[in-house]
Amino acid sequence: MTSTISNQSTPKIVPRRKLGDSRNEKFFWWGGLLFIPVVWQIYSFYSDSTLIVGPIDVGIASIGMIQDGTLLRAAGESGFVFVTGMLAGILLGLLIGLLVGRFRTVDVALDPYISAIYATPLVALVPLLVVALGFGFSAKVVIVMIFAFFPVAINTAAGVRGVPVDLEELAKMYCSKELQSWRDIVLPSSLPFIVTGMRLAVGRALIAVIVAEFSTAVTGLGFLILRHSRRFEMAESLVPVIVLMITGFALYTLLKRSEERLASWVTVAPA
Amino acid sequence: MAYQVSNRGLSPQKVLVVRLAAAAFLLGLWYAAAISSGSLFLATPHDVIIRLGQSMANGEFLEYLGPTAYILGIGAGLGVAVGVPLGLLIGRFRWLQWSTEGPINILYTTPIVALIPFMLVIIGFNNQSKILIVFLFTVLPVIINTAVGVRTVDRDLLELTKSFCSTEGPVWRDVLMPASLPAVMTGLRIGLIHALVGAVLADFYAGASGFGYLIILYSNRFDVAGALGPVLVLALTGTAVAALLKNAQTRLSPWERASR
Repeated sequence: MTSTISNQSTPKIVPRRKLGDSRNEKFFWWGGLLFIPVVWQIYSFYSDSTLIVGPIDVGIASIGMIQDGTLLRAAGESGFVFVTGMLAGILLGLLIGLLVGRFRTVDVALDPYISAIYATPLVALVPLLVVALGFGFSAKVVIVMIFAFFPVAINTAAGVRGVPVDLEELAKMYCSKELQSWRDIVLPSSLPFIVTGMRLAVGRALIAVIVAEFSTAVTGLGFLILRHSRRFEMAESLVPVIVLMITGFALYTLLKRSEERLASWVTVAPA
Repeated sequence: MAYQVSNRGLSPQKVLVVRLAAAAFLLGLWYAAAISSGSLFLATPHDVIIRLGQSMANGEFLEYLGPTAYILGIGAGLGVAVGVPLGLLIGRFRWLQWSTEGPINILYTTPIVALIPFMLVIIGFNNQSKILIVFLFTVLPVIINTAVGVRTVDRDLLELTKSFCSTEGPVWRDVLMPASLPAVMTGLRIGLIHALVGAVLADFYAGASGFGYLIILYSNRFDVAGALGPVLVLALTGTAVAALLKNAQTRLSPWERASR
């Protein structure tokens, strides 16, 4: 989930509204959302293959998995890895991002590497990390941390770099201390960018959790997917996928909303 | 991105010195870490390069590069060929935007890796599933960015075309296409980088061939130097793709600073 922030002259989207538009919009939105499950259900109904299971089968399977506790336990395990890795990645990303954005020397020294690694398919490193760190909890957390680090660092740096020069000069004129100008100018004006970085990190960290669970020890939602799909229990193997879908979308929407609240004046392109 | 702020007081010579010092420092750090941790965890840079050279010389490199390049070419090609037109349409027609917004965003925020075991059961361990994986990784960012590009075209220009009774064709040619080009390029860049990730994951899980498999093969033998070679090549490919497309973007639309 790579990112784009264009904090400059992208024209604001001002759609012209006609009467009844918002009702139409809701209608189409829900129609589009329901289209895929409905088609999928009909297809599974007419398909002879037992491997094609419809949304209703998945729903039934999910009730069973909730009742016997497997789903909750797996979600807890994955959630713990996700939260720990995310926190570590965000903290590290903030630290490096602030330094890179604030100090030109650090920027010049580190930016080429950060940009290059950001464009690297980091999944390629997972087998090596597993060899180095083992199959346990720490390997998973490190994998998630590495994935979450880069978007946070890059967007934080972009935010700090974009602090209005006027404000900085004003702070200097009034002999503001470095710490004060960080608190009053640098952090507030780069906050929307930091949240963007976190939103992008969420998507990558979810990928990292699943890849880590596919490649390491037998825990979490990733393993649940593997186990059931190997037994050809397709409905059960799709339940964790749906959980991930809902989690990803909920977190994305939450962070997107807070982005819009924090800075309605910054144009943040999606992606 | 680093080059936006040119007036923050570092001369070109100083930049060069800092860059060289940083490179030397990081390389030194790598050596120190590799030597102190033993060859089981990390290999020294020259070992990695030597092993990479060997594998290129004995043909192994090309043998594993082929399948990955194949699925990458077809998967990413299809992703772009489907994603750009779809994104243009979604950006242009509001009802299409409304009805696709939900599914596209949900699919985009879902870790597609989680679907791989499912695809393998339905489609099988073959190139078709690999191509599908790469395709899914590529197509979503391309659609989303292209649609945003069309949607953010200056409204005044569109009103103007209407005032002059322009038909749909010329509107696309003269207004929509050129104005959305930067966003399309952003979509291509992100899409192609995602495609690389998809290709590696496809090689990991959907059949024993390609670059990703080579990494697993060496890792399982605890041959870190061997495994880091393909990782290095993938890193260079990703960086080169990103740099090339960013360059093309600033050339095609110099009025808009390339965003990341």
